[in-house]
Amino acid sequence: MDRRRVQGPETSVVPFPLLDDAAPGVVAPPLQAGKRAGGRRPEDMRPIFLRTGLISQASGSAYIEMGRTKVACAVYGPRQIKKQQGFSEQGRLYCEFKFATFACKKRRNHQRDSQEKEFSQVIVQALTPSIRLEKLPKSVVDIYVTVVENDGTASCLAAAITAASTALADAGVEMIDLVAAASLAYQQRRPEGDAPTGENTREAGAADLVLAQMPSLGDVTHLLHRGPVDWAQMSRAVEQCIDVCAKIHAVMVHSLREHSAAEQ
Amino acid sequence: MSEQTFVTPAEVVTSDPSFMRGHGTYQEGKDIVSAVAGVVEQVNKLVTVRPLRTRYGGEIGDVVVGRITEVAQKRWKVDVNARQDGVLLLSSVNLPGGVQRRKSESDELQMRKFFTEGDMVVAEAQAFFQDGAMSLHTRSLKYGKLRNGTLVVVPPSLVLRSRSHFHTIANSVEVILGLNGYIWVCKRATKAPEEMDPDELYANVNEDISNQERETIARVCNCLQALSKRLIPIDYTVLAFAYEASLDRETKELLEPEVIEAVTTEAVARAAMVNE
Repeated sequence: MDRRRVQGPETSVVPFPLLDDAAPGVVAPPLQAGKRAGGRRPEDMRPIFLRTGLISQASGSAYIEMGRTKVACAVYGPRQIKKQQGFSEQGRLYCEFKFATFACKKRRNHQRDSQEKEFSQVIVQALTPSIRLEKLPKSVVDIYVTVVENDGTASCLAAAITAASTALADAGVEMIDLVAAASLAYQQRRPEGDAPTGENTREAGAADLVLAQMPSLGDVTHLLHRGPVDWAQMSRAVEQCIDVCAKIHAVMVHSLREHSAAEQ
Repeated sequence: MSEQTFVTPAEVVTSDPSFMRGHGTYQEGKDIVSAVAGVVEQVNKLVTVRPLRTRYGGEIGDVVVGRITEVAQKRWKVDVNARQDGVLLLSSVNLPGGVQRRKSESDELQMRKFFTEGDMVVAEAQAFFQDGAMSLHTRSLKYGKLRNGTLVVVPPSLVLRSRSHFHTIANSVEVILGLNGYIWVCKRATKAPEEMDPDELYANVNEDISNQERETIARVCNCLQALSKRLIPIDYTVLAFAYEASLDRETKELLEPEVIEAVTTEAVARAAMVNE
């Protein structure tokens, strides 16, 4: 156990019962036929809020909200590689993905666990093809991602990739394209875009998908699939994600443009 | 092409084959495509995309302010806001007392007496290494260790090249406009470097700084922050006018948006009049 930090309480309570849909006394509006909570169609994502430059200390930063999924991302660099890491002709990408201790239903540890390390790896893999690393010899670009609130783990990862790519563009790192990422979960064997926590856990053998893509070039940079589905569903899901990525790309461009307008 | 076109990565800048591709772009078939999020710039037939925020590029002869990050073999590593740390060789610093001789092993052993990690220095870019790292020198009494003041960081592209980068404002504050975006604001030295004791050049102790001097330093810093927030190119003229325009406000007010607007607008207008 870590004795240097103040330990959080074992159990947590929701401070404002009214804000929690599941709290007693709050009746969720009845679902329309063929629609999900919030009146979404199965393929719809949640509305996105994306803004760059919120972390003024960093070279570039982005903050993204999709429903209750909230992710902050900061990019530092390109800066000189440390001696111990050795010489490299190409630039390197380093990512640290972290859920805030209070981000999930269950409290997370301060140290990164295996899932967070895996996600860091995924973000690096998803972004590396887009970045012109040959332009940055001996340099490293550090990406720090903090999930402030987790509402759907797959959606957190997708949001993190989207935010990281936006932050890299904000930092002025040269890249061949932005990377947008979309997630979906299979609901009764049907793909449903950008699922919050509650929607995906009802059945055993739940499956989900995260897809990262460079929308202008049309190249998929990363695909992470979990759970058993058949081929037809899978290919439908991938197509659905690619459609969503194009929409996310528009949001990314808009936020970068808006930020540049604000600075001038 | 209009003058202010904003592009994002993978956006086609132009398909006209008569253009040459410059920094921040890459070729994709016939198209010149942007590689950064920024503004398209065109000089004759050369098309470049200037990113909104960049690290400092640097040129030989630039005055830069930096922070020592590492003491290595016969050299110091200096953070100069560039992609790679700058290098200050032991052979390119002045010895205390201005003695001219080759640096010996004993000098190498007491490198930390000159500069240690965290020290601020002002130096000049002397040359570039093969890998693009900048070699610095402090072989003039203008350059060397910085004391008695505070650092302001602004985007490097905002600092204008000018004849001199060492200025005095209000007769009490010295400003060193580092071209790398690091600006040092300090109390005006009571002694010229030539009159200083050999040991004083590399001393680590601040002089006494009166409250009034502290206030002036803070005011100049806030003026710089204000100019940088509005993305106004900074040189001595604009800064001096911003300082004058700020005098009827309290120092702490200078970071409020309306005050920034008022002070910088006035400073820019007056600077434009002088430049005409």
